[in-house]
Amino acid sequence: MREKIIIGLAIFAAGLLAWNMNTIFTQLPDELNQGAIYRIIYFHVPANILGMSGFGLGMLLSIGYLVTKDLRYDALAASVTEVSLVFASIGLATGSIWARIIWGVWWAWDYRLTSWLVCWLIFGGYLMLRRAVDEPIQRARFAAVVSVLGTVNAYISYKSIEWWNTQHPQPVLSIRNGGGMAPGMEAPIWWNLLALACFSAILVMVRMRQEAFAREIDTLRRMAHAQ
Amino acid sequence: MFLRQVWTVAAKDLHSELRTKEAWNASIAFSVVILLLFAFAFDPSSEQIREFGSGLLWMTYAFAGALVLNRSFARELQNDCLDALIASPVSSAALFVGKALANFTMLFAVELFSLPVFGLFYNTWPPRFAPLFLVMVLGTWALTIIGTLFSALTVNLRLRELMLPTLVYPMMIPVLIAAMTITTNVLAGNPMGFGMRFLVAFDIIFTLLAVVFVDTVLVG
Amino acid sequence: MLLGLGAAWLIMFIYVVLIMLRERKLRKELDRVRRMVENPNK
Repeated sequence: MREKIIIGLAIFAAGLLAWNMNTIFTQLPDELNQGAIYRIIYFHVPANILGMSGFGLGMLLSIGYLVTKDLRYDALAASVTEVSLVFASIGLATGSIWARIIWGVWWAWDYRLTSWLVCWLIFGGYLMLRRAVDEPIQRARFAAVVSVLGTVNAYISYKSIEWWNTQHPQPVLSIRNGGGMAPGMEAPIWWNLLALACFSAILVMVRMRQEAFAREIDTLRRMAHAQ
Repeated sequence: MFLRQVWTVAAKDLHSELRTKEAWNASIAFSVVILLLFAFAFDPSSEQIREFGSGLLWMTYAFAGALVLNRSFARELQNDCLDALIASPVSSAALFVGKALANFTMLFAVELFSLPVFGLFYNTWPPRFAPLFLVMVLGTWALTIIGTLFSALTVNLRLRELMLPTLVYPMMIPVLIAAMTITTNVLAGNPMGFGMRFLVAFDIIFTLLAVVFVDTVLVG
Repeated sequence: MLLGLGAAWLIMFIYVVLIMLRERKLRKELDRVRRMVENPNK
């Protein structure tokens, strides 16, 4: 059943991505001020949205683990956080390249970039911590604590770095302020978000299956030792 | 009752530290070395030192803090003292607050020592003491509360000495930003700004979070 | 532009490769441990 869902989602995501690519590269004109480079937005924004909501979801799942003590929550939290970290990396990398071309620097010490990097580091630490603990229940407990504290801390960092001068453009999406983009240009962002979300769902499902494998290996090892 | 337990744990930690002075000697020496190294990274005689001097100061504190914090729970590993402490009637919250208090005292002592060294090297002596101490108390409490929790979390891990800094420094960033900005203002003779309220709020939030989570970390 | 989109795809691709490698490693390990449990003398 799970295999079928994964394959179905993969076909859907691939089709949607191909269609989006077609729209982005052949249908849409270059942007007035930035030229061709603005097309990075179709990956930059969805990847960051996915990364951010993934970290938030990871925190909720970690709380879920702490409340229920059910290891499946922990496995799901770990999978979601790891996939989110990949999307956060994509967001950072595309952002950096975009900044190089438009602002002339690889990295601007703007509050959103900086706090996003802090967030990236925190959850990178989360994954490193998971590797350093062998005992599954202890690992789940520690990871959940780090996830909750990390998310709270990431939000506080975001707010505190906001004092600094900022160079990043204000939000251009219509959900925030009624839209600063031409109508035809915004829609592909949301379609791409959907496609990448499907893609990340696939990744999370694969990761979940791996967590199940790891748990099974662990149980079998224990049995082997008990014999 | 709670306060007495806290006091017992803190006194025990300070007592054993006073006997060996391992962490103190190491982190005081370390902070002086760091302050010396920074002098080669920047021109210490320039006027700009007033602007980024506070950054150096707080980075020194954060680095020196890691040495103190690393020892905090690791000290209990010998002879299974940690298990004994957890099994004792002292609640894990009291154990944690006591440890945090001891760490705070130690780190603050190290800071008091390295502050005049900083003032001498970077020509910022004498600062305005009253506001500076206020920032140092609030900032150091925030550093220790985060650090002590993560010290408890990493104590049984492989690579403890590596895991603690990688986890703890990103978490300390908001505190360090706030403390650095306020200290810059203090050194330049400006009003402190609203960073003070931020530090107080951060202290309260993270003390509460840490006390809530410490049972999960230590006992499960 | 191509650099940026290329970077995005590259990161995704690297992650997928990593996840596949891990999958293979886990399956191998699972097989090994299963055999070990079923046939402890070996």
